[in-house]
Amino acid sequence: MMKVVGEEGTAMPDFVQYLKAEFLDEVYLQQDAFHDVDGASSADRQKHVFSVIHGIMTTPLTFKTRDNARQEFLRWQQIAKDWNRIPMEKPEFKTTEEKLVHAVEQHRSTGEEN
Amino acid sequence: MNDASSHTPKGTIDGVNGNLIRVTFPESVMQNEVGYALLGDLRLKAEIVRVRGRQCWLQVFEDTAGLKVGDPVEFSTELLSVELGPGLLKSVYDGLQNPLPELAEQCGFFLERGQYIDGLNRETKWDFTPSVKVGDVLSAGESVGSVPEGLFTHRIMIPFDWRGSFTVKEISEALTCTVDTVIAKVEDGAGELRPVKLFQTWPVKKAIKAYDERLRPTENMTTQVRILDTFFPVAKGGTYCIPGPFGAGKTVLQQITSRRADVDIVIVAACGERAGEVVETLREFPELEDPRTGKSLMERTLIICNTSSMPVASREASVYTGVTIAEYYRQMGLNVLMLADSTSRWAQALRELSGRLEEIPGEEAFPAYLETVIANFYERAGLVRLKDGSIGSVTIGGTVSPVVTSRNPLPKVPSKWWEPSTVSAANARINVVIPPSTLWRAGVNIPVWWIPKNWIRPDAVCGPVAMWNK
Amino acid sequence: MHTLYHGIENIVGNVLMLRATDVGYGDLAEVTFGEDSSLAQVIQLDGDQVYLQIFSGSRGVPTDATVRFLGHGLQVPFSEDLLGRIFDGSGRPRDGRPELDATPVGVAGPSVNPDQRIIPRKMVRTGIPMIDVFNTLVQSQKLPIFSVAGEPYNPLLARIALQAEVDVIVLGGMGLKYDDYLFFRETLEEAGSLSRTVMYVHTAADPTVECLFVPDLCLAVAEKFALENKEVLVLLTDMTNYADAMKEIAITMEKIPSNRGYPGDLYSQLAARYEKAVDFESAGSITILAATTMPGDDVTHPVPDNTGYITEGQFYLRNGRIEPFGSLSRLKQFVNDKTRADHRKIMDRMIQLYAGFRSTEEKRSMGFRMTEYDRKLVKFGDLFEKRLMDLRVTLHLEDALDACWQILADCFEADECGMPSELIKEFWPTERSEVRSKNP
Repeated sequence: MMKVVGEEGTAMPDFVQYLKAEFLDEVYLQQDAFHDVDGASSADRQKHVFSVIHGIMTTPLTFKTRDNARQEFLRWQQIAKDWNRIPMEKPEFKTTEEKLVHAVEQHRSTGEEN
Repeated sequence: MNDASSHTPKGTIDGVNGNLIRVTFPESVMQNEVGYALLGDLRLKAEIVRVRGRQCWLQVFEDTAGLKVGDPVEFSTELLSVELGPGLLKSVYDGLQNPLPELAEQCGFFLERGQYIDGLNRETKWDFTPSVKVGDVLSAGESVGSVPEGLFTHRIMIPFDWRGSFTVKEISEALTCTVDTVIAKVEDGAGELRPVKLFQTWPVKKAIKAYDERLRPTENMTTQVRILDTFFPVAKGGTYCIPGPFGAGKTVLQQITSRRADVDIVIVAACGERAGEVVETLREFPELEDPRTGKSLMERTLIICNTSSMPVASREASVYTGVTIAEYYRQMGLNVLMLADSTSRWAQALRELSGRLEEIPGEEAFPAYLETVIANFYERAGLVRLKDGSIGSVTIGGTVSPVVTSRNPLPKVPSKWWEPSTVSAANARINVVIPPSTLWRAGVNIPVWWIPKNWIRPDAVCGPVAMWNK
Repeated sequence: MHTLYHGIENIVGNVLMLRATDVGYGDLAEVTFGEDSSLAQVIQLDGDQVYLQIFSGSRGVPTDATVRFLGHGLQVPFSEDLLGRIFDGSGRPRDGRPELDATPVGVAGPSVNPDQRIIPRKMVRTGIPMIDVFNTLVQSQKLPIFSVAGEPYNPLLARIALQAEVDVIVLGGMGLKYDDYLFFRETLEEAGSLSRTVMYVHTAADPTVECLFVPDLCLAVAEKFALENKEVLVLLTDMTNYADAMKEIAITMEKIPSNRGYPGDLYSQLAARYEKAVDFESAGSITILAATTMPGDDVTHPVPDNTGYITEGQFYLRNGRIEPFGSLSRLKQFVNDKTRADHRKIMDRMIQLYAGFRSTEEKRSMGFRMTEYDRKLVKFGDLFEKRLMDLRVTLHLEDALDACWQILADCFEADECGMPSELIKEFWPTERSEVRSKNP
C-alpha cells in the first residue's frame, strides 16, 4: 500500500502506525542469532523489554513532518538495538532503557492528534 | 552383535523390488517383526510390513544389491526395538540406534551395510545404588535404584511392558557394573522370578505409558527466541511445527532452540536432511558450554542422524527411535525436547514405502494413513505425572518443508501447502510459520526471525503475552 | 556361474523380462542379439522372473536374444589414465580410443558416515567474481545452478572447468545436445584442460537409460580420486534431464507417480547423489556444481524444489548473470573470514547498495524525483553490473575485491559508502578510474 501511494500519500496517524510496526519488527521480532546477548533472551528479559516496547507501541505520538517521524524512529531503533546487545545486569542496560523511553516521551502527543 | 542361532526360524526370499523383499516363511511371523536377509556373511536388517498367506514383505534397512531369490531370511521374533539404559546421552546414533562413531572405528569413512553395533556400550561401568529393599512391591516404570549419568540421576526401572505388580526378592547392593548386569530379581503374580538389568528394550513404534496420568501442558518452555516466547509460546509437553521453504532458516531455528531451550534433555533427530547440518552440531556441541550447567552442551544432548543419503527405511524409523528415548527420560521426571528435522522427509519415506507396496495412493501419492501416523507421532508428546508423583514432559518440535517458492519473500499464510504440512500443523498445537528469512531484504548474513507485519497490529500484541505473563 | 539364457518373455518399454535363477538384485547382464549387444541391469526379482532394464533401449531386441549375467553390479574402471578421456553413459569410450584396462570399482557405493564428516574449511577459487566474492564455493559443497533453458549455464560450467583451482574435474553430461558436447570438448581441449578432466557424456540422441548412470559413474570416479588425495570438482549438466529419465523409467515400470509424474523417491534419489559431496579429513574432497534447468522458470517445479532442500544454497542464472539476490552459498561464512579482512564487509555492503540501486530504479520508473544520492546509486549499479556481474569477467578474488573498492570510489565519497573507517583507511583507492556512465 505504502509502495503505491508513497509516504506522502499516507495519512500521518497511519504513517506513525506503520513506523511503530516497523519498529516492533526491527527491534523485537528480529534477533541476531549469532550475538551472545541478543541471540539469547531470557524469559525475564523478554517480559521486561516487551513491557517497555509495548509502552512505546501504545504511546500516542506526534511529529511535525514525516521525515522527522522517520528520522526519530530510526534513531530509537538504533538505541533499542544497542539495548538488545547489553547484558541485563550491566548498568548501561538501565541507562539505555531510560534514554530510549526519554527520547520517545519527547514526542508524546498531548492533545487530540493520533 | 546378535548371534545367528540355529533355532531362529528362517524363510526364503521370493522377490526383490528396491528395498522391499518378499519372503516365504515356514511357521509364523508377526507384523513389524524384525528379520535379517542373509547375503553371504552379511546380515541385512529388515522389518515385516505386510503379510499375505505364507508370504510376507519386509522393508530392508540397507541397500539390497546382490540379494537373490532363494537367499535365506532369519526372523528375530522381536519388534523393531531400541535399548534403553544409561549411556544414551552424548551418543550419536543412526536411525536404528547404531552408534555412528563406533561404526566409523569399525568401517572407516563409509557406512558399510550389514554392520550393527549395540546401542548401549557393554563395557562401560556404572555405579548402581539401590532404592528398594526385599519385599517391596513395584509395578512397571517404578525404579529399583539409580546410576549417575553425567548431569542426571538415571533411574533403573521395572520394564515398562511388565503387567501387574512385582515383589522384590533380591536386590543388589551398591556396586559398579555394566548395563547387562542383573541388579534385582522380582517375583510376578504367577510366582516366577524375573531379572531386572540396568537396561531394557522397547519397541519404537509403541508409546511408553508407564505413568499415572497425562496432564494438560501449562508451563512455558523458554527458547530465548523472542518471537516464539512472546508471541507463540511453546508449552513443556506441547508440540509445534515449523513450516518453511528452503533457505527460510528452519534448521537454524532448530539449532538455536536445541542450545538454549530450558529443558533437561534435547534429542535432535536429523531425519533425511543434509549431513552437513548435523556435522555442525556434532562438532560444535562438545565445545559449547551449556549456560544452565556450565558443562558441555553434549552432556544433555543425544543426536539421531539419518541424513538424506542414508537408507530410507531407517529414516522412517529414526523419528520413532528419537521419541522413544525421549519418553524413556520422561519416565525419570525430566523435561525432554525432541526436535525432528524434517517431518516432511519422514512423510516422504512413508510415501516411498507405500509406493513400493503398491498401495492405493492418496493426494500427491502420500498414503491414506499418513494423517493417522503423523497424529500418533505428535501425540507421544505430553506432560505426565509419574507413579512417584514427579512430573516429566516430552515436547516435540518438527520442521516441515512445503513446496513453496523461495523466491517470493512474503508468502501468504499457509493455505494450500502440501499434505504433511497441513496435517502436522493440525496436530501440532502451535504452528510457527517462518517465511524465507530477510537475508534477501537486508542483503546481510544474519538470520533473523520475522513474521509478516500484517500478522501483528501494534495495538493487539498484548493478547498472547497477557496469557504468558499469567 | 555365467549361465546363458535364451528367450525373453516380455518386453515393455526398456524393460525385458525373462526367467532365470540365481540372479542378484542390481546385477548386470549382457544381452546379445545378432551383431549387437547391450548391458542391462536387474531392477526387480519376482520368483524366477527377472526384470532387466536394457541400456541401449529395447528397439530391435528379439525374443530369442541371449542373456548372460555377469554376477556383479555396475562398475567403472578406474586409474589415473582416466584423465583426458571421454566416455558415454554406460562407460564405453566416446573418444575413439581403446577401452581402459584398469581395476573396476563399484558405483553408487555406501554413503559417508556423518560422524566422519568435517566442517568445510577451504574455498574453491573459480575466478568468477559473483561466485568468489559474493557466494563463495567451498570444498565439499553441493550447489545447483538454477537456470531457465536458454541461459548460458553450459558456457558458465565450461569456464569453471577451465578456471577452478582443483586437481581433477569430472564432467557429467545428461541429455546434452550434441553441439553442447562438442562445445565442452573443444573448449577444454583448446585451453589444454582436458588432461585434468574426465567426461561422461550422455547426449540427447543416446538411449534414455544410459542417462541414469552418468551421475553415478562421475561420482564413483570422483570418490576414488578424492580418496587418493585429489580435490575434485564434479560438474553435472543437466540434472532436470536426469530426473526426467527417472520419471520415464518409473512410468514404464508402472510405479505410482507422486508429483507431476515424478517418482515418489525423487528426493532420495537426488540426495543420494548430491550427498556424495564430501571433504575427507585425511584425503581429498568432492565438490558438486550441477546445472538444473527450471521448466518455465518455475522454482516450485519438483526438480528444483527437491534440489533446493538437498543442496547447500543455489545460484540463479538469469538474464545472463548470476543473480545476487536469490543466489546463496550456505557455506560461504566458513571461508570468507579467512580470505581478506575486507571480504565480508564489502560483500554485504555491495549487495546492500545494489538493493538500493534496484529500488531507485523502481522509483525512477514510477516517475518519482531523483535525489543526488539516487544518481550515485544508479551509477553504482551500472558499474557493478558491467565490471563484476558480467559473466565474461574473470578476476582473482583479491582483484575482484579491489574492483569492488574501485567501484565504490568511483561513485561515492569515502564517508558515505557505509564501510567501516579502518577498512577505508586500508583499502580506499587513491584515485578514481575514468568512467563514462550513462547519465539517467
